[in-house]
Amino acid sequence: MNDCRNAEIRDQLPDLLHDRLSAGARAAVLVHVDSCAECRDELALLRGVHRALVMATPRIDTSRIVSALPKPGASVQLRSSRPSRSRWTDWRVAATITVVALGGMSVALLTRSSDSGQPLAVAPGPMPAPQAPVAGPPATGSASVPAVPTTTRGVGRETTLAQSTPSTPVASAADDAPTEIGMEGRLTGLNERQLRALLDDIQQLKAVPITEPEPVTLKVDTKTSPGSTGDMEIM
Amino acid sequence: MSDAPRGGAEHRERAGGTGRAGGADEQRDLELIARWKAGDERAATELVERHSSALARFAVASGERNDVEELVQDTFVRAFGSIDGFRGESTFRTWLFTIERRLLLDRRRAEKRRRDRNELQEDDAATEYDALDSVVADETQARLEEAVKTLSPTQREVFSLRIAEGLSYKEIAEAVGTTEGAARVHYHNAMRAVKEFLG
Repeated sequence: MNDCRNAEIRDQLPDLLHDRLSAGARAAVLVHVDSCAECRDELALLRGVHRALVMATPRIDTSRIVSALPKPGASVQLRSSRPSRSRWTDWRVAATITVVALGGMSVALLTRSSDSGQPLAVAPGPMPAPQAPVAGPPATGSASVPAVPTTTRGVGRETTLAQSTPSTPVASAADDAPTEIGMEGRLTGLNERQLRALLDDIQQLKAVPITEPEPVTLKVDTKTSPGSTGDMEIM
Repeated sequence: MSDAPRGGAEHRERAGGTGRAGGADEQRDLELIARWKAGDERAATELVERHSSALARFAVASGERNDVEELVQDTFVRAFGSIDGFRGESTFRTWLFTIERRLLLDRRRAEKRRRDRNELQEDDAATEYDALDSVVADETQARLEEAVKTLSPTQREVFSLRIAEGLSYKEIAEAVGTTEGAARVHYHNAMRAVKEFLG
């Protein structure tokens, strides 16, 4: 199959097939095709390819497609709804930041108040270097709240805990302890008899009733006594 | 064919310098789009009926064998979902072809990845562009099928858009993302290859 030398006419053959030529152009192409075997052959080829494509194409269910389409104005609604969603998100973010900030400030205030001498339930941090023993908190702090010194012995260190649980039998047990123990809350000044009595008192702690425990107040004092090395006292 | 080749006086309004007709169809599309935006759902029905067959033909000519209707539906859903992006710089049908072509490419990439994973046989993978088999009725059309198979993917796209849809080179260039001159070269190279194949 040869090509016609008139490229301009050949270019318009598909347009002739689809009737997309103006009246004047269509007439000119038809005149040429009538006298050109190559263009007639090419036009026949175009018709064959077009027919083959049409036959190969499955029928489309347009109603199904239409039912799947978005509703009119959906894109506009989507765009208009964006700012309100953004405002709502911004509001939630702001509220979260506020709550976190208030929480942080509360913790900071509580920590500061504990640093100013008031007992607070704070876990002891890293142990500083041993220092000379210092007397416990003033008697005014523990006089009204009987303390029960309890002793636990860890590896190479002795820890004294002072629990202030006035409404529990623990407190009444502390009332029976020697005065100097309750006032000072340290073991370094106790003789053997006092220590034994203290241990007996501790054993009586088994009788503590099952109740919701009161907040435990710990005073961490990392100072050591002259006779002990590396001991930690918690008052 | 619900949207058989568009002819008549309405297509001759856009004669221009090349002698091509057309323009009323595009104007009608714009009117329907405006009506749909205003809330008229029947306008969408008419738009789908006007262009669905052309989209299906392009899919088949481009080698899509399965789920042609699903592809056409996805094209319309994508188009109507972003109808504000259509600014009338091309015809609505050309814009639809552009969307459909992107979806086709996405499908092919996904299919290629799936094939790579499954390590299918080479002869199975070679069926990507087997669009016309099983539909040609006679020997001439069977030969045409074989001839079109020899074309490159771009040549097939240009060839089908030019012959099956009667698009201008400018419209084809917009649809397949090339230049008008390149589309013309692709078309004539495809025509030459088909003629050589047919002897």
